[in-house]
Amino acid sequence: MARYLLKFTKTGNLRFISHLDVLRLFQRAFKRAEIKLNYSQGFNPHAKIGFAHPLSLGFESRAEYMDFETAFDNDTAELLEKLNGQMPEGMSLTGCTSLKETGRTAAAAAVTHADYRVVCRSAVDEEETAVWNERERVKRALDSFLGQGSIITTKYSKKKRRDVETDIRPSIISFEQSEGTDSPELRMRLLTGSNGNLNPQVLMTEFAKYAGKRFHPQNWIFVREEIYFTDRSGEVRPLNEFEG
Amino acid sequence: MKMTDLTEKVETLLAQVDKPASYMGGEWGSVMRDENEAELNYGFCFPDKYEIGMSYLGLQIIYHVLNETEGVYCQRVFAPGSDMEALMRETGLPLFTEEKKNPVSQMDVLGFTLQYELSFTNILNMLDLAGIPLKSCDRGEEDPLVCAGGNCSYNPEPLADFIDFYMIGDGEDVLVETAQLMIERKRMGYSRRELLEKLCQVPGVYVPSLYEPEYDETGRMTGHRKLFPDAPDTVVKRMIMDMDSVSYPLNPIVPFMDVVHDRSVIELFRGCTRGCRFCQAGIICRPIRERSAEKVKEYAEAQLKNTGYDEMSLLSLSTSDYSKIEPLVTDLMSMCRSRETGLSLPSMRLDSFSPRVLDEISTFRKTGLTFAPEAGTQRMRDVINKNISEEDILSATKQAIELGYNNIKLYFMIGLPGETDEDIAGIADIAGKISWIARKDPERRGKFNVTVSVSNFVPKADTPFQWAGQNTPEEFDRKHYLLRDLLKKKKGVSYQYHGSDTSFLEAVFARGDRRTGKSILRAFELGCKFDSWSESFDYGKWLQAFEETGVDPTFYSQRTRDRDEYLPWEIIDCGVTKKYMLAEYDRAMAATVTHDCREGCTGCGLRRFVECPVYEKVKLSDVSAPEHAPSEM
Ligand code: SF4
Ligand code: SF4
Repeated sequence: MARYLLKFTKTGNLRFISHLDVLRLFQRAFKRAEIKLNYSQGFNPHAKIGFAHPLSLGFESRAEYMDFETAFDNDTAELLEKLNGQMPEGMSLTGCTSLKETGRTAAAAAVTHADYRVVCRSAVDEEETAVWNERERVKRALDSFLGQGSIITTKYSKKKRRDVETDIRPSIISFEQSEGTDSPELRMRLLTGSNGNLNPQVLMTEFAKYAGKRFHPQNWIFVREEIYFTDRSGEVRPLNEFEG
Repeated sequence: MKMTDLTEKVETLLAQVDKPASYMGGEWGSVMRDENEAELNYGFCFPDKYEIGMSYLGLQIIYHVLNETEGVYCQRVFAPGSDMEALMRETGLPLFTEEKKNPVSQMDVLGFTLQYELSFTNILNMLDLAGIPLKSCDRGEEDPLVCAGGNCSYNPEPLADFIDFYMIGDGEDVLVETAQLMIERKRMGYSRRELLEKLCQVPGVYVPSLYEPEYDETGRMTGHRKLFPDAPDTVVKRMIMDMDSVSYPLNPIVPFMDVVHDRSVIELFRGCTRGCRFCQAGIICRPIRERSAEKVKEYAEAQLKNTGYDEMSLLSLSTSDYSKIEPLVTDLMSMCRSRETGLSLPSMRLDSFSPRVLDEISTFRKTGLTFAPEAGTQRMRDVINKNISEEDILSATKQAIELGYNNIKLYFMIGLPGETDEDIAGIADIAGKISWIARKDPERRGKFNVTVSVSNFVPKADTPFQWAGQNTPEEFDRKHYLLRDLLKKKKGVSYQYHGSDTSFLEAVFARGDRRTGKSILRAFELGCKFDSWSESFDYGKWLQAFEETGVDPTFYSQRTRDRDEYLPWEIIDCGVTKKYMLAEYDRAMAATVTHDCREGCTGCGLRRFVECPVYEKVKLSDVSAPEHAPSEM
């Protein structure tokens, strides 16, 4: 048996398929590619496939990660080639690395940060596009937004049956405008995983509210650019450098 | 003219709806081509939600056959969910194709499949969302042609005002022939009317606008008057006689999202000769035509390889009737096992397998066992010609328990012709006996479940019961409460029941004439759609629609037809003669059974058109003529 970490994209229409759909898609792709996976023991055996940090439905991604266990050893380049031939449009595999066989930590559990890019779909709502195209104003708003000591959001908690307040400021590592793009675009690095977790849509909504700007999530494309883990020395590194 | 691409607009809405994956297209196996290069753009329309349509084998077959046809590009169209529809209407987005997001109104032809009567309003709703005139007579030269096929087209009259032409019977050949004529039209520039006049001469094609229904003073239909001299007197269904000669989808579309049946499906054969008298499929799909075991295995292997599915299912009307089922299942089981794939065998009769194979089958996923005795007493089963005895049911139950099944589901019908309360009590009796067998076994006590699923009898066109009146909804409800109370006394039995209002509607349209179309139109205008979904079915609106269009629905559902009455669907010849069905009706009333014609031809009338392979076999195996041949041709 052998363990691998696969990096793939989820773009275009495929941003609308759920986490479970992606799992099913890969199980079928493995079968078509005739790559034998290892199955868990027990009454209802399932393939040993795990995903790093689920992506919100509707988001695109250039950096999805999946770890899996095969029955036999494979060459990573060969795996990549065989599987790439089985991917629908919008999903392509960009890397495959070996994980330690005995690795205890699942890739999913190691995630600490993620980068996002949020792009305005200019064609949809001219007014909204115009507002966000006033780059100087957006910049000033960003500066004063981030200058706050804390940024409190409220969200209804089903478990506690009341609104709960959270300070999202510590989860924002960086948040800035992209330079020189045709459409308004923002980039951000956010805490992701067990030590803090901020959804970029929540951040955009908060910021728009703060800056008094029109913002409809459906007029924007959210793209996850990369996810990271933090190694023992404290360095934040892309997940494909993770070894298990 | 270049086709419009609505992708941007559709995508903006996807973030706001439930199940966005059902509007995405681009699935594995879907055909993505340049629609502007096609000579004929075909929209294959399934009048229900994506997850229902994608579970239907016929869709995969038709999609495959059309896309294989030179010059044709076939895309799929589904009925959008209510949330999506509301957004589409609000933003002015018209109905679009699944693959390329083209407006449906720009297609050359739209083909609807008619699987159940309760989808009829969805057809009108889809045309409306597409911005296409609902009635054939209002469509212009530039509008798409609207055609239909499928089981419900054997009574084409209720939708006759809306459908330009029907294709009756097996689709593989007639779809291609009609598509070729439509391509020819584009090259030669025929008018719509000229095209329809040519189409009506293709065998199996019915063009409703070329006929006018006639009625007598009591409101009964008396005939179809031809409005075009070359239109055929009756339209004979199409039959594929050599199943190995037609191609089968080896690269079926694999949906991204979870759909009702999400697996590889292999069709073993068409037709059934058991002759249950309520069953439309048993008549219209005659005769039995099998695929060879070689082809079945070849297709199965290819589908598993191309799709990566982890489950395969065999499909036919009565799967275990396949002539060499045991060796086939054994081979398929080992194929599936080596690919770590499950094999499910629906509609199987256990008595066709040896204990060894049964043992092997039962090592696969145990999905539960189903049985369809359909009626509670032997007398009633003789009436409907369901050849299962109580002994059969009970011994199969014992066997199932031994094989380790934990539940059994029994299907029954109520409201059958000549039914008494004794027959209802018989249903409870059988369920009680089965549950008792299970409870005797100390290991099973409390673990074994019997489900009784009861549907309401709906008399269908082209069956021996096509003359029979349906019970009133009140009568159905009374029987349902009676049965419910009887079953309450039985332990370990649960009860499922279908609403009688929808069964009543089904009966109206299963045997309705052209006038009932007005009520469908009115119901649609009042907002009826997704009538088969309980959350959207609105019986009150339907009653209002009948009232406002002056249609008495009970005239169609509850009235027992006269023996010599002209039936609105007689314009279609389903292969089996009216005389045969009438003889079967009489035998039913006398509770006389008719044997399966694999034991000897009973003269159903098919041999007027084709050499019946069942007949040929019977003749060869020299079975002497049956004593009760109900009629000769
Ligand atoms: S066995 Fe009876 S109910 Fe089933 S398909 Fe055949 S005729 Fe119809
Ligand atoms: S022609 Fe005879 S053998 Fe063939 S299906 Fe009809 S009754 Fe059966």
